[in-house]
Parts: sequence; structure tokens; C-alpha cells
Amino acid sequence: MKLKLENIKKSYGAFTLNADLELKEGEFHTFLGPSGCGKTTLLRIIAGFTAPDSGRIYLDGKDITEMPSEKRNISIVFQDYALFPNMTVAKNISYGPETRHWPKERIESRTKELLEAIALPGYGKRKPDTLSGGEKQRVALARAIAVNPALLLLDEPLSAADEKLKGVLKAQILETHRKNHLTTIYVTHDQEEAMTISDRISVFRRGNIECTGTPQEIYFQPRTLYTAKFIGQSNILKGKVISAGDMVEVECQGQIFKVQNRSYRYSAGDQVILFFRPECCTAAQGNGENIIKGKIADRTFYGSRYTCSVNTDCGIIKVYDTYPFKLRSAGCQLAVRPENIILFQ
Amino acid sequence: MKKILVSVLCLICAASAFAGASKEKASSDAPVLVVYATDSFLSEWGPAPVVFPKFEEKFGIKIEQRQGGSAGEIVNLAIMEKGKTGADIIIGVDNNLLSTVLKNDLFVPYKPAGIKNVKKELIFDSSYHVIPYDYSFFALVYDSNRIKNPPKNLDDLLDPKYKKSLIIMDPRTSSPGLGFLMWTVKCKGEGYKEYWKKLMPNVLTVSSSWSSGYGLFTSGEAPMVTSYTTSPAYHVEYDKDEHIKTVLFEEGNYMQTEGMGILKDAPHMDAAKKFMDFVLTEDFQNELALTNWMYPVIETKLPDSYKSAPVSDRPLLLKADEIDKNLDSWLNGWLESTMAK
Amino acid sequence: MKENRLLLLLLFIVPFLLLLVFFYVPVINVFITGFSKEGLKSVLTDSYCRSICLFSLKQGVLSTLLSAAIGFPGAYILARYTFRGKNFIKALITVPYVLPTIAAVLGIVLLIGNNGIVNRALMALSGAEQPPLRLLYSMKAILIAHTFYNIPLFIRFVYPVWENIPVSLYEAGKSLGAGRWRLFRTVTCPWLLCAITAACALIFVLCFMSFSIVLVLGGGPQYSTMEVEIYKLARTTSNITKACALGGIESLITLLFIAVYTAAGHQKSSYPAPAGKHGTVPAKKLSLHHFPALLYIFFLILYIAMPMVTIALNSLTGKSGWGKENSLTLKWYRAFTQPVMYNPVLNTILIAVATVICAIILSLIISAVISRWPKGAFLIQIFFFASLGISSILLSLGFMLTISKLGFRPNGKLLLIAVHTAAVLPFTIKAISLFYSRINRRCIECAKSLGAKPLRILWTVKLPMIKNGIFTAGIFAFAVSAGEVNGALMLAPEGFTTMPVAIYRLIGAYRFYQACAMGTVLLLICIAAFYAIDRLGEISL
Repeated sequence: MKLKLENIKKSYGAFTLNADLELKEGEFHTFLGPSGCGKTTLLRIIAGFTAPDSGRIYLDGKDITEMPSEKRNISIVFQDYALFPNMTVAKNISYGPETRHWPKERIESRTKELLEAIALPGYGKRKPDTLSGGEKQRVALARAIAVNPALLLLDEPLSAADEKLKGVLKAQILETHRKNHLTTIYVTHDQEEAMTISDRISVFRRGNIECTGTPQEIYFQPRTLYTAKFIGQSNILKGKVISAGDMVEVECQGQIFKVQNRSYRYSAGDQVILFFRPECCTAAQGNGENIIKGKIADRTFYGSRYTCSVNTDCGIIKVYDTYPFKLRSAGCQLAVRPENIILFQ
Repeated sequence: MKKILVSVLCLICAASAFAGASKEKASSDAPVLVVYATDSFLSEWGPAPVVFPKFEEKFGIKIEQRQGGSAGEIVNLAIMEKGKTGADIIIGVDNNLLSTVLKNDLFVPYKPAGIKNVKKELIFDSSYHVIPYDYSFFALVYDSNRIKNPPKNLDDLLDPKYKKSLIIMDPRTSSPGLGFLMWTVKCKGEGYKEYWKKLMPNVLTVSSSWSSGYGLFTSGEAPMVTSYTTSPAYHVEYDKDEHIKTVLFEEGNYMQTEGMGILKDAPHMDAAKKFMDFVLTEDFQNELALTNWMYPVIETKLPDSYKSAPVSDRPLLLKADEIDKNLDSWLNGWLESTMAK
Repeated sequence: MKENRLLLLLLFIVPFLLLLVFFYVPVINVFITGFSKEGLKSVLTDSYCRSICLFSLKQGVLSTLLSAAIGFPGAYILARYTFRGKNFIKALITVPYVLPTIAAVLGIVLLIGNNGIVNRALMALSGAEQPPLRLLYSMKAILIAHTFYNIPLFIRFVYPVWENIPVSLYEAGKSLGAGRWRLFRTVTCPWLLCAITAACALIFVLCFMSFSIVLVLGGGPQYSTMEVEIYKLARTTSNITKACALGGIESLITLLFIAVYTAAGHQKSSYPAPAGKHGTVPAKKLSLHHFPALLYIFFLILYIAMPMVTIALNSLTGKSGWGKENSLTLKWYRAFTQPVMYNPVLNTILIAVATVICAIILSLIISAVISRWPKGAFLIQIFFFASLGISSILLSLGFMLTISKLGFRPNGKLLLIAVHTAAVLPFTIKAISLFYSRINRRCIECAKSLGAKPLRILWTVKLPMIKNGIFTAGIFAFAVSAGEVNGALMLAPEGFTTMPVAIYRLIGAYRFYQACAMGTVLLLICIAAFYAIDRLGEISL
């Protein structure tokens, strides 16, 4: 176990952060959540800038809760990069090694190596305010990893970049992560970023970690309704359990849904919420399980697909119609496989 | 950046070492005398740097100086810290302050050995609490290049031809200013208010201190200034310039006598007495003319430049208790008449 | 983290005690003495006291408005244009502070007095018998002298803020169709409001407490400020109770304005940090097309520099004043080979440098405390700024009252440095905390996460980032310390004379031209020091 957070608590007025988390060696872990959910606070606690009210932090099995941040060997890259404006690029990068009193040659070679790694050789003598946003970000990254930190923290490092740059920088971050086998925590409010970059994601909600899992788990088998709603597009219907066996039968505005029973928690008469992703909903013909009839109310073209809102007896259902397009406006039938529906209370 | 820091640190060390070094002096065992004196007396260009070493050498007593600003400030301070001044002598108590000093019982009477040599009329404290050491007269000082026939008395000064030609000092904030006010009070009695009313058109400005007033005069702002009869001597002595002159008025000139006294709680009474004796010797008196720009109180040979500094044979002086009683009303009267402009 | 906070708190005690001992104790002694029943009664029933209070207010307000009005275009030009000699003007507008009042008065008299350079030149040209220009010894003269001191102050306060107005605000305004005048009214003015308020409040306080300028240049007792009356009560008629009461009332008025000054400065620091060089309006090069601006600069230099230049010229003449036989001489400067002349120079430099160092260190501590505890910023600042609102006469009265209670008279160089440090803190704290509050906290955290200890962070990150604030503070501290008179008179150990004190003593000992030479050297040293400090700022980057 690389990093272990045990019962971390921190309160600011009415806001309380609670966190329990374990990170594996070399993991790329993302804290995902809307602003004000406590993800940055937790990051600052891990970095040692903020002291938790209670709980312990273990890094490589060692309790670092009381350790000042300068001794933790945890590097951080901020949203605004926070390069030292008074130092050159090279000085910025060699700041950590110099602090640790590395031998001069080693500092020099490390700086050079990193400048090359971030594709900015020859930038050593420049001042940060002459760099573009992307260059700054790469320098900040190089500065953070120069000392081979035990843990790398990235606080929304892409939020200031434009779409195209985001792709480039993301690749840079991933490359850095893989090359150096750095255990990394990445904070973002952007679910797409989180999905594409992470080994595992922790979804935050009002100071709590709602759930943790791989992007696939989080996406297709969210453990809470909040996670389900927060990530991606979703269809949410209200219904009532009619019978519960290996399959749960749920009635929703006259429509019967068969749902794979995962928890055996539900019994007949329970009010439940049905959840499924638009992409799990396909155009279907004839009769079968979970066939829903409806009419297309609205259609938006996304190039590779249409996103359609289908008016059904159960309410509006969002569906992706991929090429070749199958849904007809006049009337259509949709089907959802029982294993793709998740029930929430 | 580092170099700067290092040099800055060096500077701090140097500064504190320098500052620390001055502290050591105090701990010597030689007998001492603690002297409160006016700033002008202790100034580098005043008498102290000349006469103090003489005394120290002669008696082997070290003098510790305490600056006090003006005479009024020192007396105020001594009154406030009565009994715990830690000082022995106050130098610079002039005749105007006498009643304040006596009323507050600051000094012990002492009759120095040389007192018999002092001219009778200069001993302004007959109880010998305050012993005079020098004196001068307030007087009109003028630029003889610009004023050919100087006024001969106070009334001449009112002549409209001197419109805006006189620089005076504010009696509220300066002792020559106060001296000039007393002069008019002495000569005009209650008519002094009327006199000031008539004088104001001839006044260019009322300066806050002798220094700024005389500075204005030196820079040629006005041809006349109220100062001392001894003022021209400076210009003769140092500038070799004889056209700054003074004039003795027919009604007499108001006198300023500076004295000193031994504080009641003086910790070094013997040394203080020795100093008082020393003050009335030629060793001390001879130096006053060219450092304090005042006349010595004993008969000594004056420098040649003092030919330009005539001594009035009609010295004017108000009684100390009279001053004490009326100072406030005089100042208010002065203010009333000068503001009526 | 907790330890650091504790250490900071411990360090904070140093400046706190400094102010407490050298400022609050004496002032509170004055208040205790003054705000007694009879003290207040004697002042409040005195119609003269009321009228001088009104006059003090009036001339203070007039001087302030005039300084602001004349200084405003100057702030604009310095903020928006680049030109050769801009650095010289920046240094020039700091120099007037170091000039002791008596020297400034004489400088102005030597320039535009009845026998001043201007009038003599005019008389020589026109052949007139009488000086044609009669500016002095009137209300006008008071205003001229006050503006000489305070136009530079106004410019110094306003132009850096003006410089930092984000260009995006103007662009946003323009895109919404605002013309130049509307942009000025809706963007520039609101942005500058705090700086202007702060500058005006400070200028008012300084003019309100003016003493010899008003008396000497006003030409008579009809122009007397409260300070004159306090002086009279304290030193001539020895009515200490009434002096304290009047001084107390004066202080309450000034403290009100100091509160305004503090609050305005406080608000200023809550502006977003300017977005670097690129975020502000680029300065234009001043060329001949900008004729009014050139004319303004010309007159500004003339106005600020001429009184000082006249002093310098006077120090080169054997005797002017009475005769026309002026001859150039260096004899007043040759005297600087004697210890009585060069010791004051060394002493002044020693005290000023030590003051600069102490003030900067303490201001850093205070700024750190303020940044950790933003809610208390106003309280902390006003605690340190209050000393600006107390006149030197009152303060020395307070010292005397305190000394009399203590029973002994402390003196010494360290004491003098301490007092000077306390006196310059209002300027240095303001300069440094403004920059300190703009330090990017995340830079500090990055440094921490890279393993840097607090001291290393201070040296390598914090100090370079607030460099400009430190150097501005250094210049102010040097100027105020080098020009300070009263503390140097009261607290210096025996035989330890500083230059301003030497100037007073030289004039007091008839040595008028020698004093001019001393004044010139003081000015030159300050200009050299400002230049050095400025250079230091550039080099260390």
C-alpha cells in the first residue's frame, strides 16, 4: 500500500470532510467532484498544507500525519502552476534537488534531462513569464518530479488549458506518470478527464468519498445514485418492485422492467429507482424483454451519433443512435438488457 | 541576492557593534558631574566642547552631558522629574525662568568663589540659587547697506518707511521673541498693545524660532531683525563682514542673562560646586564671547570683533515675579494686537 | 506548522513592544494628563483654541486639495508614459521628506523670497527697485510650501496603483462603447479612489500638524496652527495640562484621518493582484507631441528641485544676502574634513542604514502576521500607523512625562534606531504588506512540497517576490530616518549628532552657509542612497 488515509476528518464551519482511502503503488488516482466538495482540501491534507482534525495518513507504511510538508517528499502541481517568477526555468526545476543538497553535477544533469523530457531544451535560462501556458505547465511538472517524489499531486492542472492543449498535456502527464512509475493523485471536476486518465477514481460529494473504483466500474456499475448521475448521461426512472427473484421485476408507469438482481435487497412493493446509460439502450424489433415504445421528441447530431430524447410512457429516455442510424421519428422501440439496469432505493 | 544578504548582515553586525561600543564608557569609576544644558550650549559650535574638557582636565572630573532642547524645556523636565533627575547642574536658566525655578524649589543656593568679580547688576537672583554666567541684550540688528539711518528708539521703528522691513520672532515659541515683547512691555507699559498694533505693518514675518528668523535675515529677506547686540560680532569675526550692525536704543535694551544652578538632589554636590566656581573663572568666561556669542559676566578682555557689539548702559529687565504673574496676559495681548492686522 | 505560527507570534512581540514603549506609553501619558476635567475645560472654553483649530483644519484641507489637484496629472504621466529621466523623477519625489523643515523653509525663501533668486533675476532684468514677485508671507506661501512637500507624496502614492489597472477593464469598457471620459470616470477613478483617499488623508494629517512653515511663511500670528499653541503651552507658559488637552484633541482629529488612511490602504490590498506586465496598459513613450505632459514635468522638476537646488547654490557662495558681491567658493565644503562636520554625516548614514534594516525585518514579520490573520489586518495596521498622527511636539511632551515618571533619561544609538524604526514602520509596513498580500500562496506551498524549510522559502521565494515592496520601504525608511530631528535631539547619546540636528545647530550658531552645505550633503546622500537601493533592486533580480 502506497498511501493510506484513515478516518481523515476536517471541518470548516458547516462543511466536514471525511475520507478513508488506500492507494496502490504506481496508481494514477483521481479525485472527482464538483467544486466545494472537499477534493482539494483532501489533497492539501495529503500534501501537509492543511492539518486534519483527526485521522492518520500513512505513506509507504509510515505515519506522516504530523510530518511537516517539506519532509514528506510529496510534490504538487497547481492549477496556476505557481512557478517561482523570480527564477529561471532551470532554477525552478532544480529547486527541489538544491534544497536536498544534491551534488552539483547531479543537479545539472537532472535539470537537463528533465528539460529534454518536457521537450523544452534550451529554455533553461528563460523566465516563467515568457512561457506559454502549456510550457509553464510542463515546467511545473518537471519541477515537481525532479526530486523523484514518493507521491505526485496534481491540482486541476488542465483547467486553464484549451481543448487541444489539454490533449497534449494529458499525454505529457500520463507519460511522466508511466515513465517514472509515480503514484499520482489527480484532482479534477472534469469527468471526461477523470475517465480517460485514471487507474481509479474517487467520486466526492459534500466532503465524503461517495465511491471509489476503476473508470469502468464507476461508469457502468455506480454504487450510488449520485455517482451515477454525476458521471455521464443517464436515464433515471421511478418504479415499484413487483417480484424479486434472480430477476427483479419493476413496474414503471405500466411498463415492466426486468432487472438482474445483484443485491437481493429488494422485495415486492419497494419503491425503487431504475438507472441505465443511454448507450445501453438500443433500438429493438419485435417483442422481448424490456421493450419500451416511444416517439422521438428531440434529436441532436454529434457526428458519430445522434443523441435522441424519446418520449415514452415512463417519461423521457435518452438514447444514442449510432451509425447506421436506426431510430425513426414516427415511432420506435427501445430495449435495455436486464444486466445493464441498476436499481437504487 | 545572497551577496546582498551577506553584506546586509555584515552591516547589522557592524552597526550593533558600533552602537554597543558607546555603552562601555559609562562604567568607569572616575568622578562624574551630570550636566543638563541647552542644546545651543552643548552644540558642536557652542561653548561645551571648549570649556568642558578644560574642567575635566583641571579637576579630573568627567562631565556627562544631558541635552534638553531649549531652556524652557529643561526647566520643565527638571520640574517634572524633581527628585530623580540624577543630574547635578542645569545650565541655561535665563532671567525669564527665574521665578519658575524658585517657585518649584529646584536649586540649592550656592555662592561661588568668583561671585565678587561679577558685575552687581547682572546678579539677577539675589538669593544665589541661580548664578549668572553670561548675558547679552536684545537688539535691533540691521544691514547697514540697506538701512543708512537706523531707528534710534522703539518709536522710530514705527516709521512707515520701514514697511515690511523687520523680521521678528514669535514670543510664544522663541525666547528672543519673548524678550522683544518684554522690552515693549517694560518701555510702554499697558501701551504695549497699541505699540504692537502700529508695529505690525513694518513686520515682514513672525518666525517660529531665532534660527529661522535670523536665517531669513541672512538670506536678505528683510534689512532688520530682532536679535542680540552680540550678533554683529559673529560676522566680523568669521565673515570679515562689518556691515551687519546693531543699535542701542535710547530707552535702553532688554537684557537676557543666562545662569546656572545646582539641583537640590544633586548626586555629586562637590563636583557641582567645583564647576560653579570654575564657571566664574577666566578659563570659562573667556570662551563665551566666540562660542555662545554672549558677554562674559566678569571683566575680561573681549575679542576685537566685539567692538561691533556695544554694551548698553541702560539695561532693562522686568521683575521675575511680575513676569510670572503676567506672562499669559501679555502673550494674549500681543496676539490680540498682532492679529488685528 | 504550529511551531512556525508560535515563532511568528514571538517575533511579532518585538515590533509590538517597540511601538508600545516608544509611542503608546508617551502618548497615553499625554492623554491621561490632558483628558482631565480641568484640562478639557480650559481648552473647550477658550475661543482662541477653537479658532486655531478651525484655521488648522482650513489650511490642511486647502493644502491637501491643492496637492492632490497638482499631483494628479503627475501620477498619470508617471503611470502611463516612459521617458528618459523617469527614474530620476521617481527619486526626486522622495527627496523632500529628508529636508528638515527649517531647510525647506529657507530653500523656498531663497528661491522666491523678496531677495530670492527669482526676484533678483526679475529685478536685474526689469531694473525695478522693489522685488516684483511678492508670494511669501501670506496664505499663498503656506500653500506653496505644503505643496512642495506633498505633491511628491501624492504622486508617489497614486502612480503605482494607476500603473496596475488591468487593461482588460479598459477593453471591456471600450467594447461596451465607453468613451475616454466615461472610461476615466467608471474605470480609472474607482480604481484609484482608495489610493487617492489614503494619500489625501496622510497629506491632510501632515499639513494639519504643520508648525514653523505656517508661522514663518504665513507672515504672522494670524496664521497659527494648533501646534503653535501646544508649543507655547508646553514650553513657554508651562501649562502642561492644557498643552496635553489641546494636543489630545489634535491627536483625536488626526487619528480619525489615520483610520481613513489605514482603511483605504487596507481596501487597496484586497484588489486582485495585477496580472503582471501583460495585464496592464503598456506605457507609451513620451514624445514632443505630448507637449502639456512635457511642460508639466518641467514645472514639476522646477517646483520640487528648485528649493533644494537653491540651498545647494547658497552653499557655494561666500555671502549672498546683503551684497551683490557673490563669489563662488568651496570653503563650506572644505570644512567637511573636520570631525564636527563629517561625524554627523557618518552618524546619519549609520542610523539610517540600521533603521532601514530593522524596519524591513519588522515589517516582514508584521506583514506575515497580517497575511496569516487577514481579519486583524486593520487593527494591526492602525496600531502601527497611529504614530503618523502624533506631532513631534506632543510626542516629546509625552517622552518628558514618561521620563519624569521613569526617573531616568535613557539615551543611546540603539534607542535612537528603535525610535526611528517605530517612526518609519507606517511607511514600510504599507509598502511591504501590499506586496506580501499578493504573494502567490501556492508558490510557497510548492517550495514547501519540494522540501524547502521556512527560512529557505523566505530567502529564495518570498523575498524575491516582494522585492519591490522591500526596496520602496527601504527608500522611505532611509528618507524618514535621515531627516528626523526631534528624536535625534532627545535620544542621541552625548556627542552623537545627526545631519538634520547639525543643520539646526549650525543655523543656531550663525553658520548659515555651512548649514546650507550640510543640507546639500544630506540631499546628495539621500539621492545616492535611493539610487543605490533602486539599483540593488534591479541587480538582485
